[in-house]
Amino acid sequence: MIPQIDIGALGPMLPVAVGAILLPLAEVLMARKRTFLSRPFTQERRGTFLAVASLLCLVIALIISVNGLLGPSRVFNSGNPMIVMDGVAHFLNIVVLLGASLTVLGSVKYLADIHSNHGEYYALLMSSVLGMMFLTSASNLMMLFLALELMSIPLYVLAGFRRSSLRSNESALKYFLIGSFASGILLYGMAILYGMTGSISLAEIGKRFDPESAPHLLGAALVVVGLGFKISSVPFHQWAPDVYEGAPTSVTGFMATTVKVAAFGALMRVLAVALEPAAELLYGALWVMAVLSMTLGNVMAIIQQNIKRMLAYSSIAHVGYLLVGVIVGTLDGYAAVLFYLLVYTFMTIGAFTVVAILAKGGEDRDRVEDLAGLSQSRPLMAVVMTLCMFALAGIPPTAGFMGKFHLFRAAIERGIEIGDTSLFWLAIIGVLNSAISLAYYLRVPLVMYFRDAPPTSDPDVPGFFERVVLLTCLAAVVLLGIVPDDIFNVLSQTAASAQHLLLLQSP
Amino acid sequence: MSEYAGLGLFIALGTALVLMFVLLTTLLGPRLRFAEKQEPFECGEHQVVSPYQRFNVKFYMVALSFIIFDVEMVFLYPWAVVFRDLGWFGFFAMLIFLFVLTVGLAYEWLKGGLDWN
Amino acid sequence: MLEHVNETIRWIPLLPLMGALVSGLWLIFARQELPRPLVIGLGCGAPMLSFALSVREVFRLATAFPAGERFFIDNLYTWISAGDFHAELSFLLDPLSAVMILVVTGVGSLIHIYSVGYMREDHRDDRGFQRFFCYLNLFTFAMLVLVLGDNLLVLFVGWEGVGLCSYLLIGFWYLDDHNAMCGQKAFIVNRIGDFGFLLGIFLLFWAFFEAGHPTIEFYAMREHVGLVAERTVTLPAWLGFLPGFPTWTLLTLAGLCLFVGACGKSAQLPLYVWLPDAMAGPTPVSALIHAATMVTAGVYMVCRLSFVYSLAPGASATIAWVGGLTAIFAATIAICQKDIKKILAYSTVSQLGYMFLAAGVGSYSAAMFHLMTHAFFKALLFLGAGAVIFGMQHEQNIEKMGGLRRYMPWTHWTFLIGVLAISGAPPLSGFFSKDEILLGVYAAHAMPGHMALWWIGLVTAGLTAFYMFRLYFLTFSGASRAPMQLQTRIREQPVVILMPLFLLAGLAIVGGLVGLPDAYGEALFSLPSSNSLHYFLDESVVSATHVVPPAREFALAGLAVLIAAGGAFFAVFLYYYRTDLVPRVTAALRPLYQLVWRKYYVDELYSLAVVRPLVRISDAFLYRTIDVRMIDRLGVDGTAGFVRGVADRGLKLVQTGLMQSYVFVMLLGSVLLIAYLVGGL
Repeated sequence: MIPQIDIGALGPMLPVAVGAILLPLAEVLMARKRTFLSRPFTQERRGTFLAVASLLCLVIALIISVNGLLGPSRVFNSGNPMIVMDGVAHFLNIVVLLGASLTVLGSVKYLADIHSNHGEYYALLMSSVLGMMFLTSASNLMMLFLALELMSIPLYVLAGFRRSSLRSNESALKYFLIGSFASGILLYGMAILYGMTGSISLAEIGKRFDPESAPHLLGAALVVVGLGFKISSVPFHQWAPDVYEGAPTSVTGFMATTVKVAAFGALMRVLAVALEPAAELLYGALWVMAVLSMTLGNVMAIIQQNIKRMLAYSSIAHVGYLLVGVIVGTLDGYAAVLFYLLVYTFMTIGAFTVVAILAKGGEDRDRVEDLAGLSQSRPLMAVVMTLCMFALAGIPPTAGFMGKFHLFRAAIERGIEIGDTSLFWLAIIGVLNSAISLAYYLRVPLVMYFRDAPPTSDPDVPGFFERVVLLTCLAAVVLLGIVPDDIFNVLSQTAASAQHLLLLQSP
Repeated sequence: MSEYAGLGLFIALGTALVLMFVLLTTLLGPRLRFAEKQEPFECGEHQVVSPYQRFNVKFYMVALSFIIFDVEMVFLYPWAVVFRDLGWFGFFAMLIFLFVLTVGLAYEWLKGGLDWN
Repeated sequence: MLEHVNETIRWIPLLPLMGALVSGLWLIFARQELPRPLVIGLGCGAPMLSFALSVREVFRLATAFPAGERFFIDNLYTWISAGDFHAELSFLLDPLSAVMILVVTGVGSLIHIYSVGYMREDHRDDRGFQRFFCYLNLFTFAMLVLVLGDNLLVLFVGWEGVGLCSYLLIGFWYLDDHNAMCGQKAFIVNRIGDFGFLLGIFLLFWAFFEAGHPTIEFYAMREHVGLVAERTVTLPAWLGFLPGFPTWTLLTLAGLCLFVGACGKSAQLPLYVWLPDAMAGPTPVSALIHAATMVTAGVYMVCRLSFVYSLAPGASATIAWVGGLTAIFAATIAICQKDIKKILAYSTVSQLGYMFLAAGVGSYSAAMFHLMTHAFFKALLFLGAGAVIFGMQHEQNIEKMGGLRRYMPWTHWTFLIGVLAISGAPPLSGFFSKDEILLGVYAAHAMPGHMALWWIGLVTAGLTAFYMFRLYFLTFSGASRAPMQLQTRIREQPVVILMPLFLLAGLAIVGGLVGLPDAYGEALFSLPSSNSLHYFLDESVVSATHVVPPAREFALAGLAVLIAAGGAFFAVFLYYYRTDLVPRVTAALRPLYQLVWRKYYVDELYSLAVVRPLVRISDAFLYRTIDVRMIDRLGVDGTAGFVRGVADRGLKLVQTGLMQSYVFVMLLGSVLLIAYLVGGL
């Protein structure tokens, strides 16, 4: 029996897939001594061409996704669906694609700066994006795992993309080893879930899941661990600082944002659909994880001297904030998570791009002191960095404030609704943590504005592409803070319209 | 009961065949003893060496290509069996799959992954 | 409730924002300064236009509508609407915000003009002049958003915005690392307060949400506050030592949380520590932000939420006591300081304490009145101090000044007016506002210990007169103690600096008349309700009413003047007639002097009790045990050393221990999670 297939549902993935498959071919064809254009491309032009080509694919995918978001939800196949393209999937895909586009734009000059301008970069990036897009829409354990691996394996390579740098190699190896370990745990959990419920469909598992039975819960716990690793929540976070620090900066920005976006999509879907019967128990565990992530992430970030490492800990803290919305578990909570993921992507990529621009002569300049005097030498970069830091710290009227506000507001409203004080405490701890976080975010503008640059420093001029990234992040961080309402309304509707598909509770 | 008879026969014949080979080699084979021959070995490699020994990366390239196309075969066999039932849909699905693999092969080729020297 | 839409209001904050944006964007993209006249025109023009607009709109507000209907709403757009929750980005001009915007734009404009003179020769930074005005305009914008905000969230945006600008401006002269650290200290202390503030917002939101009116708009909240007045919360057991345990009304709790924010912003005990350090910024900044406007935001907020505080007597009593204690505490510190700006800073803390004292006893209009007059005379004093510092070639120690009266006569006269006004000399502005506060405290029979607070207020008045006259005499009278070569170069300041001083001096003299107490109006001019400010404000705030017979009122005022005069005469005696006595007095009171001179060792206490343990925990525990790998890194001479170390040992590092420890932690986490889920741990 052949299932009814709706190829059109995969519309957003197709351009990315085509890009991922054809880009390496284009790269080697261009690298040949005699090309069909009869003269070889220089490495730099090759890089630019590939970047533009991948950007094109991403933008086409973006347009299709936006259309999809506005249109009705679609299911890839009849029967037990493998892929559900609902509003949430479309929105998360949009965020992933935006993050990827900004990363591509920010990579062109950076790759040349660190002498790693290999064409495979873009193909790997696109493969990873493809995996993320499937991850956000997978509604089946098999699909989920495949997508997760499709997302992760290129990232292992990308983390070690600076082949000559030991830090980068170390980063890749660590990421790979611990990542495989986590994948193993996840797979084990999935196997147990399948064994216990007899289905790999998230919806079916949701129907058959027995929260009283120990093996069921064991499976659930292992799946949560596996996804917890991907979002780098405490206590599955320790790899993040090492990996983020060692990986090429553009890749770090990509890993810190899009991977979390996609993994949060999967986490929300798994929790809301498959593990819904065990929600109460799981939310207790996630509560602890959220509090630990926020607190440990922020406290550890205080003492970091390396910006990438600091941002790694900060990203751990942000995972804590995001988990608040997941724990709230209402449409409002999910909408807040979606909004925050969007905001988080912009503010984090903005910060990483500034760090990437500073790299020069094959060396990253990623210590906090390396930013000294930036407000004088590169005012635009300094302003973007400052706003990103303020946004990450959640200072109004930046987008970061709005994101946090929605998360904590959702928690409080839900707390009132069900009379659960633990949600209030979560919000209070979150607010307290964002107060702590200022201590380290503030250090960056402090150094940029209130310290003179060492005479030897001569930060690079941002190139055209990088300027685009900086201005985009700047605009997003400001606009999402002062006129956030339309987009948040779209998200509320998205979450609501996705309800019958995302939550798949009704057959 | 009778359906297991074939299985029993299979096991018995298999065991007998192996025993026969062992017996024949011990009876007929020439016996020359020297040091290297006394060592256990596998695939031409010494067994007691550092585990951090390096292999030429080209071995991996070949091994990976081999596995990929091996998996392709694994997919092709069941597909061929139900090819008629799947119809054009199945045909194009497999075409896409083969295309993706071919692109990979082309990439490896152009990149020089298949050149031994 | 009638709503008067007025779409001009938005331009009051937007004009300074546009000023800031134009100069800021120009700096970023053109990377050079605009021509000076243009910078000045833009920088000063924006707040002045804004002031003109404010005057016009406030005038319309006061005249066009009868009392009780005086408010303009300007709704820009829906900022947040999620579920039942709704917040507009809208501005509200009612009598309370009217007073504030007049102060902010009026005093602000004068300080902008003064800055033209003050910053003109600042060549420490090639684009500093324009940058300074950019920040100053940005500050004005944020402050106006704060006071015009129609709901708690918009107020919070302004609240954070002014903190941010304050931080930028304190660290403005970043050549000195100390300044930057001061800016950071200010921001972080403020942030502790903001934590409370945000919690308070959430609590109020919670209360109104639960009562079926999910709103944070001031007037809507005021309308429905009765519904949540009885809502109580049960405190957790570890708070058992608190009075009223275990149930508090939610409004009390929210009010206290919000007051924590006010303590941070308005430098009250125990969060006042940042304000004296904030004096590291340029003097116009100290005048504008750390005296006249930003630091009063807490007072404004309490008055704005008077409908909450009037239903939360516990919170109000706390405010009154914190205010009173801060007033006297800071006044004693000011007695011994030597830095002219630090003295004024502690005096600001003390005066802010006064305002909170008034707000705490329910005399909100008195608090606002003092806020206004204080803005006049404290801005005057700061700008005068700036002129002195400028004249003395950046010397701030008053022990090295003296005799400046001869060199800078105009500055001297205006400064004297400021000193008289803050000391409460009748009929200057400070006299009336201070008098109204003391009267309110005296008459607040519902407040526990209101007589003690009244005495504290009186003593503080005496102390204030003493330290202000000490400052005055040490600076302006006697013989100059400056080095000879400096003495020859001390000059009176140019007109661009003096003009704001004159105007502020005029305001410090007559500013009190808008709030002339009824008793005086009746007695002097036969005007039965001369306290127009009080009646104007009364529709915005929920004041406690108390009646004191006029005769008693005059007697109390007389007592206050006597005490202030006593303080002043003591200063005249010590620092004018018998300067020789000063060293002997300080020697006699050595331990006490030392204690006060070191500001009661509060900074040291904070360092010992808060900062160092935090660093220790972060460093010793987390750094060394959880993030072990960093040790390796920094142990071998920073990152470069680390890379070399890795290179030496090949990739062994990856294989030895650490990976295992990561995996171990992860496994441990998994085991705990499983134990929790499966075993019901």
